[in-house]
Amino acid sequence: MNILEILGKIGFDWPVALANLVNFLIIFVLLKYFVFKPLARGIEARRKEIDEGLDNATSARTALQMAEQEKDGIVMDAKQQANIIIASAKQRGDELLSGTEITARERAEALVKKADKEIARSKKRMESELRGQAVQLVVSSVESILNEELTPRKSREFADRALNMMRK
Amino acid sequence: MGEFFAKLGIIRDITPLEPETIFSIAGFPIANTTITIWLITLIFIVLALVVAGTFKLRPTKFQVFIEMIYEQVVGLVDQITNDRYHSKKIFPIIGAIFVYLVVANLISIIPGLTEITLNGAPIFRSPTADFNTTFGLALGAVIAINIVSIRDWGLLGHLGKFFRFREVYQGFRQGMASGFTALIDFFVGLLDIIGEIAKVVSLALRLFGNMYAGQVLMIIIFGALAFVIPSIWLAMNIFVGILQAMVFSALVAAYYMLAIKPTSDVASREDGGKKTEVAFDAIQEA
Amino acid sequence: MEAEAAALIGKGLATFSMFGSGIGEGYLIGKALEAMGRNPDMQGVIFTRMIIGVALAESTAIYALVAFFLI
Repeated sequence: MNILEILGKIGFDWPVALANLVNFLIIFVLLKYFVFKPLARGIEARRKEIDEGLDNATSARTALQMAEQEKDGIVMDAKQQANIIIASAKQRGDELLSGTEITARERAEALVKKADKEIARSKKRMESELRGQAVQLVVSSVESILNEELTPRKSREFADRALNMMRK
Repeated sequence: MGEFFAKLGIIRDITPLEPETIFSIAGFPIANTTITIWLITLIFIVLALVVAGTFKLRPTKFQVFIEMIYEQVVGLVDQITNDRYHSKKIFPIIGAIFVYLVVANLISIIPGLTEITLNGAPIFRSPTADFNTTFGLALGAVIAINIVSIRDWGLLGHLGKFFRFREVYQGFRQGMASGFTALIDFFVGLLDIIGEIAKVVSLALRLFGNMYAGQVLMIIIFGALAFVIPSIWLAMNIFVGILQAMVFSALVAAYYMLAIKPTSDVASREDGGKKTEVAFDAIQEA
Repeated sequence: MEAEAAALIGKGLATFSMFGSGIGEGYLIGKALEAMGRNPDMQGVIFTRMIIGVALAESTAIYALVAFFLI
């Protein structure tokens, strides 16, 4: 009893076995090229996509962090600058304020000085006018008393004398 | 009482061992299992169209299901080969065997499919419940593995696995004792030829026996009690169907790993892995 | 008639191989559970290999079944 005979007892038949094997090979080719390959390619593509996405997310996160830092820096700079500006403005204002004060005082002083000068001048004028009038008065009174015309030399003498008296 | 129980059972003829020939093309018999394989081919064509046509990066539920099966098979092959390179190389054939066998084992579960008859013979029959299919598949697998072995070792190297003249020569040069050991090894090597045939027969018989026994037992249980109990056996059939497909493909992968040349880098890597595992265990215990 | 009787006896004897496969499977699953208890991290791997081993052990019974049908 050979092995093929024994196997034949459980339904072994060469043509059928061959046919089934060939059919399986067809299925194998079908599966290999039209199911496993696209699946592997697709899964690989998705894996790549996910990796890229994760990378993008990390880079985006770092970019965000950097942007935030930058923002913080800008805000800080702006604050500093604002402080500087405020300080300078204050200084400027102070300067301006003190400057105006000084100029005002100067002007006031100048005004006062001018006024003083004016006063002094008018006083002098008045004095000289007064003196002139006094001299005239003295000369005319003396002429009326003496009833004679004074010579210029004498009139000056009287005038001087009257002035000295006035001064006393 | 007995009559009542007899009415609960549906008695049918036990499926014959050999497949029925439905028709023949030019003297070439077309069995009902062959027709079922055509049906499975059709299913896979539809699957291929669906997968190739509708693959999206954002998967639908069906696509997730398909991808889950795919990843499972990849994981299974990875576990057996323990090596990324080889598992990538043999994945298409192992995966095809697995998927094909799962569908073939489970196709007879479709209700009413096996009831379609032509001239009293069912047109569809689970392909793996036929010794021809399993034998053809096992024979093809073992022949393919031998071809891979020849490509890897060379024709002489491959034959040297079975006819160990070189080892005998080297053994006798070393001394009498090792020479006789080599002589025994020589006969063991001759036995490996029978081992190759035994591989085919055992692979084929295991799958066929499981599937056929499942069908026969189903019919017997139906004869005894046609309600409730068969559903449990049906669930068992699904489990066994997937399991046997896994076993078949796993064994083919294991035979492949035995046949190829064990590359030194793989060996060192495996050794390294073991060492790290041992170290890891020691750390855990401590 | 005698030949048929002998065949039936042979069929009965063939079923005895179930003993071996039952013992084998029990031993295998027991050992696997032990291993899982010791090393729960490896549970998945051990389970898959156990299932494959069980299927291999069961194939003995399946051979007997085929023999049963052959007789």
